[in-house]
Amino acid sequence: MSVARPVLYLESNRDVHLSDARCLYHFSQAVIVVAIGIVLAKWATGIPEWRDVIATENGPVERLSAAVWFMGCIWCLGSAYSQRDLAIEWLSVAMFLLLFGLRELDAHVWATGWNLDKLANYWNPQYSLQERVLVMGLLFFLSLIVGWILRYRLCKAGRRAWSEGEAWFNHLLLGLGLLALCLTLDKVGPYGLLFFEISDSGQIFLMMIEEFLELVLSVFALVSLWPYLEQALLCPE
Amino acid sequence: MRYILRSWVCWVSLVAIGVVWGFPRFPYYQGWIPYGYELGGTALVLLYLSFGMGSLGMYGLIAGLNRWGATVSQNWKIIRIGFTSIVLASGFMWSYMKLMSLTLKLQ
Repeated sequence: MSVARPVLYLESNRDVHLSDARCLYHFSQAVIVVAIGIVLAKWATGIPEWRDVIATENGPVERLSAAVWFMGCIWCLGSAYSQRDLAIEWLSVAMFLLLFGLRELDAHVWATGWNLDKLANYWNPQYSLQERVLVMGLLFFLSLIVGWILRYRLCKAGRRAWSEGEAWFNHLLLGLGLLALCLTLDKVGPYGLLFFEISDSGQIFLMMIEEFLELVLSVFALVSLWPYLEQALLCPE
Repeated sequence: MRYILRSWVCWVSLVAIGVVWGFPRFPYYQGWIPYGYELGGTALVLLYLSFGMGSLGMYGLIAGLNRWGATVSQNWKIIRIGFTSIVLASGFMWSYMKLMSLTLKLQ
């Protein structure tokens, strides 16, 4: 019996090709599903205030974001097992998704006692210089590993995708743009915007937008990966 | 039905119902603990991972029991992946309960 592969097909290792350009379509799908999901979450939990639904620690929206990151991580691990010749790519993506999920749950704070997001910690004399250097060294080491993976596994595919305007590259750019926006919104609230201080209600508003966009980002990442995941899982080697 | 089961919306919704509605009803679940205790945080991560494994396991079993364009040997492999995921999900949930009970005892 012949194998009917899904429409999208990874041709070979380091030769990623995705012909169906639907970046904004996927993004709008993610926004709509997230908006409906938040309304349903508010109804299901019975929390009266929108602020408490969207912008609280371990609230429904944060739980949803983390769940989607971890779900993506597990599905990528399944794909790595299923599609052995792309195992390194799948494991790299799974690692990224796991890190995003752990960051969503502030794992770095409760596991290490260090808030890696808080830039002021890096020049805070309250922490010993040795400790700060150690954390920065660890981050540098992790960046080197990520850089190595990107350099040797994705660089060629990335260059070709850039020159030929392939769709997965647009997904990647939009995802990185969203990530940068979320990080900016996260820092603008407490630190202010240049010379403007943000009021308390403004900070809560920015926090709500940031949590909403984080959830959109996680769903968008999963939607972008979905055709590849289906292909890997439905047509194992 | 096939298109619903193969869409990402179906599986994301399943996991979303699990974490929003299911989490607070889970044994030992204490929403504030993960932010104060390492063990509680680790337990919560295990619970999240178990939900991901559960969804992958169900997908594997459903995809394996349907053709969806694969050969019989491919279907067996998908079923194997699904079954293993469900077994691992059960193990992770058990670990979550052990860690949470330990965390609550340590308080």
